[in-house]
Amino acid sequence: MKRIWKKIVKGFVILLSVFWLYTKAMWPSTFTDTPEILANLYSKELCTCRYVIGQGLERCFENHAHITRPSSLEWDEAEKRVRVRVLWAVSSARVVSDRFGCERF
Amino acid sequence: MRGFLFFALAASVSFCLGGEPIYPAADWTVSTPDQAGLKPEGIAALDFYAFDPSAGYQTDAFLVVAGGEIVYERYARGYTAKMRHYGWSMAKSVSMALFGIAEATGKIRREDPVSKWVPEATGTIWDGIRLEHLLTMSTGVEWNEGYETSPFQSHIVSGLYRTRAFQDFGLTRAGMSKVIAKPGERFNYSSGDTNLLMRAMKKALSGEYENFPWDKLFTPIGMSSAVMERDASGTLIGSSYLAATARDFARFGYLFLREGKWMGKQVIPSDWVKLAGTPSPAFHNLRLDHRPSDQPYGTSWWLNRAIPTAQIGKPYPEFPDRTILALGHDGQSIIVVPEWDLVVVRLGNDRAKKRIDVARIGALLKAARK
Repeated sequence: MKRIWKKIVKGFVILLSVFWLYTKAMWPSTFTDTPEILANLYSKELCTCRYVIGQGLERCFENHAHITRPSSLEWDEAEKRVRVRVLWAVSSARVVSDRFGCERF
Repeated sequence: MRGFLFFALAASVSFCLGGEPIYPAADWTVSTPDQAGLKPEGIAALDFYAFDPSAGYQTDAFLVVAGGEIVYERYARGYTAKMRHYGWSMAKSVSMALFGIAEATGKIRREDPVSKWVPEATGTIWDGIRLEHLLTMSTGVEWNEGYETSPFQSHIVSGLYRTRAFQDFGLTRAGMSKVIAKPGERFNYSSGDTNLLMRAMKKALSGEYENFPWDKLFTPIGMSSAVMERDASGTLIGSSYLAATARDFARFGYLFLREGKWMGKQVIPSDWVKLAGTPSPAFHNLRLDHRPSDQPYGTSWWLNRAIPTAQIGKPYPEFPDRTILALGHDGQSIIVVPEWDLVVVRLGNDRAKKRIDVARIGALLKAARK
């Protein structure tokens, strides 16, 4: 029984690796970087929406909803900073000045 | 005393004859449609169209300036006259104005090769491409501007939101490697072009660059709410990241309506205002993807001209020919109509499939004229 389970897990890992390699080849890094892109998009746009535009948190989230929602989202109202996690990717953005608005860091 | 009376009389006559245009000082003066020669019922129809809750598009701000005064203004979805709004690609028209002002200082010229200001471009595909090609989106270099339509292939999504290797959006553009057409021959809308232009300006203006937009454009015309965001290398994202109030976007449109002049001072060289409304030479050919263009482009402004040689019809039939438009993602627009002495600003969030129809706005405004 243990052997069968080992084979199943092995097969699954191989399948996953093939899928990973295939996506890498088909969409060079972009597809697999999607969580990173989304985390960066959310952090930058939510920061601008909240602290440059001055919209409420709910409206900002509604205006910038995308295919995958952030797994976690932290607002620092005092520092005017946003931290977003989408799957394994984490991104933060903050207000750098009145003229230049938000930047990722 | 006699001299003063003569001057006062001359000034009054000039004003009565419509010699000196009205400019907003600290804020716009507000008038009525009737006083500006617009039928109130016509403006009511425009209001209904712009804010129709069943239409599918979402208008956040709508403003009409006629004869130098606000004659119609309304906000929705939590926005107010004091709140900034995204301009998205309307920023490109602002960047073009900044370049025009920079050129007037003699530090940079539209005829300069890209490689003069972006050393990394030397000996690459960018040889032979000039800054004017960036301004008219006719570099001949591949670029995919799709956001929602093709996010995985989109260069703009990569440029704005990928971290690795994209710290400098301008340099990202310099690193692109596929040439499809000769420079100046085919149009291809590209935010990358504008940001490469911003990078060239950064090098040319050096220490002046950081405050240049405010010193030379925003402050002189009272656009005090303007925020222009940068990439991690400090290059302004001149393609997309400009936020301002609707009233301040109207100031920018009004500057172009007044041929670059603000309260007697030439802020943007008048030839640059003309350039904005002149179709780019690339428009007489097919686009980079070999499809016919559906709307003519000037120098970082959209136009309302028919170009029969390129089989392009007038995109907004009811707006006059000299109308120029700064257009942005999700339905942002500044519409400058010299023939009607009018500026329209519409800000919204048209993320649903249904978008507001600029041609319909033109038809409603035409119907509202007495």
